[in-house]
Amino acid sequence: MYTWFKGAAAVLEHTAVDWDGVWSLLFAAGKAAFRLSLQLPIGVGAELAYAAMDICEARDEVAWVHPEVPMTAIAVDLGPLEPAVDLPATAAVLVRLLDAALDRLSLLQEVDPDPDARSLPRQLASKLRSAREAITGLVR
Amino acid sequence: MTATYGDLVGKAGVDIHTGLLHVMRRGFVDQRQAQNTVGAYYDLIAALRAHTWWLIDPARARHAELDQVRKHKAVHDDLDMVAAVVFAGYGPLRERPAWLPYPEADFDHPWRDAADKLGAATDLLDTHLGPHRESRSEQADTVLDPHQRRGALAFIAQLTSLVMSADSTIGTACRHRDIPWQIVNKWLPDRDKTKAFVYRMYELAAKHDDGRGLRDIAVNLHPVREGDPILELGDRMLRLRHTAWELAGANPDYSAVTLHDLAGLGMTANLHTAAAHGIDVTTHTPAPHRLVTTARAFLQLTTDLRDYVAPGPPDPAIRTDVLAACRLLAELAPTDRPGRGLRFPDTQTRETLSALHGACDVMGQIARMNRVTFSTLANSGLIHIPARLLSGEILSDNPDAAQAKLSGTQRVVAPPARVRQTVQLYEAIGEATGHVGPYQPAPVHAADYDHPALFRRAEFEGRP
Repeated sequence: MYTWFKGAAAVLEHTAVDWDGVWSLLFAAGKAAFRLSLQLPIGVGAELAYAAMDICEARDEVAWVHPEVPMTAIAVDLGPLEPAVDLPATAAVLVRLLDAALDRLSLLQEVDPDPDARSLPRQLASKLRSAREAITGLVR
Repeated sequence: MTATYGDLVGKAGVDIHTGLLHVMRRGFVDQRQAQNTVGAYYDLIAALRAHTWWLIDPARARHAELDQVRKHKAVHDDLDMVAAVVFAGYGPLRERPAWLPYPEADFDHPWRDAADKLGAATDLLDTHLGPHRESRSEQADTVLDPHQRRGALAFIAQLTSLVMSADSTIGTACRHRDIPWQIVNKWLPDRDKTKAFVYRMYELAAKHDDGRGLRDIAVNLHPVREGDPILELGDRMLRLRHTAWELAGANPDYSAVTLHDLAGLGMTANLHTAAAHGIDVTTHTPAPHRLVTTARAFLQLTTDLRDYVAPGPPDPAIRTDVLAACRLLAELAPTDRPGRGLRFPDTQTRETLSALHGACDVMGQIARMNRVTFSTLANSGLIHIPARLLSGEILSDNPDAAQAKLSGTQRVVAPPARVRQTVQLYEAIGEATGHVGPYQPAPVHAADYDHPALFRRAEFEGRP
């Protein structure tokens, strides 16, 4: 049976350590977070939707600075969830995607020679960390 | 406090009564004061006439009709005609005949204040209209509605009637200061016919006077009063509604993110209001409350709007207001502890809940405006969607999009079937908030509105 876990594993496998990779991971995570938020009770779903908005905003910021990225990067939608949601497992998938994006951001920050361009990974990372915090908070 | 039309005309009414009481109780100290008061009296009638004429739609009741009025027989049943007869009955007021006095520049009298306030009241209504009577705010429709304008005329006609009947009082006071009969008669001629028509004007206008009408219309400026979260929330929501109204005009800013921001705020407002009522939002319930259903509809819309790609960047002003409103909502009704609803109906709780429900109502109105904006965007053909996000169902209806997806194009113009899905989500919100009517948050209501019934007989006893 297809699960988000398999889909996320495929995304993680096929994304490189560059802006395309970050964008793909954020796309998958944002889309999945919105999908999950629709299936949860509204109080929990709203928290997740805010996290999803943060993720999507970070993705848009990548697209503003690197306009060619959305055209070339792969965009994966993890697909619909089964009606009975296993919240800890699905949240773990989201956290995994965000962790992978954060890893890539820290690497990108180190290799980028241009000091001005280094501020973007830092801003994105703080946004993603707060989203990650919110998602892990749901499971607790 | 934001002044409304009702406040201004109400205060003008108070000033008119105060001025009349001055004349009745104290009379005049000398001829100069008598002359000045008569001048102020004519200025006041001129202000009332100008106000009446502003409310009677001048586009319909044209000057040309004034001449026909006198020949017309069935004048009595048409408000415009009656108003025109009254207008003609006053004679010249701004440029008066040589025997009618003007007040001196430094003469102080409540009637002069009343005239200023009546002028300010029409200026306030004028801020909602452009130079060619085009709409400048979401309330312009109310301001232009003939029914509402005629309803507002009822109060003005009542004041006019009162002012017109003050002539005998002024005449008596003039005679007490030995002003000759000839002059008094010239100053205050017999106006019985006009008085009858003014009363008729009141009768006709009173038929349109239902509820508050124009009285709650505030000036078309949207400052935000920070400090008190309830006031600030109301102000920000009103400003957002005004901006959303502007976006729904002919020139939207072509930004899907702005619509997304506003939909997110709709979810937040309904969710926090539900929490304030103590509704359990963290579990699935078989029959969810209307607020929860609305919040869910907004969440679905938010998710749906995220898929679109539009050329415009998000509007920073709207985003600032949205973020501030979210903060205020979380401050007023936190979701992490159970709300008590109306279990303790103290003033603070009632005001908070009133502001929260006001925010939800405004979001319902904004969603309807946004639906228009979204349709304009979709019509313009500038709204795109990544081809990957189109489902097979939509692609089978739209061969162009299917072709684009097969050939590897990343983005396509949003196909009509996809746009219809979003419009349906907007419609779902419209249904969930169908009970929402025109709304003004509580602090903007014309609290100081004084009904003309403030004529108190006791005060008129013991007059000179």
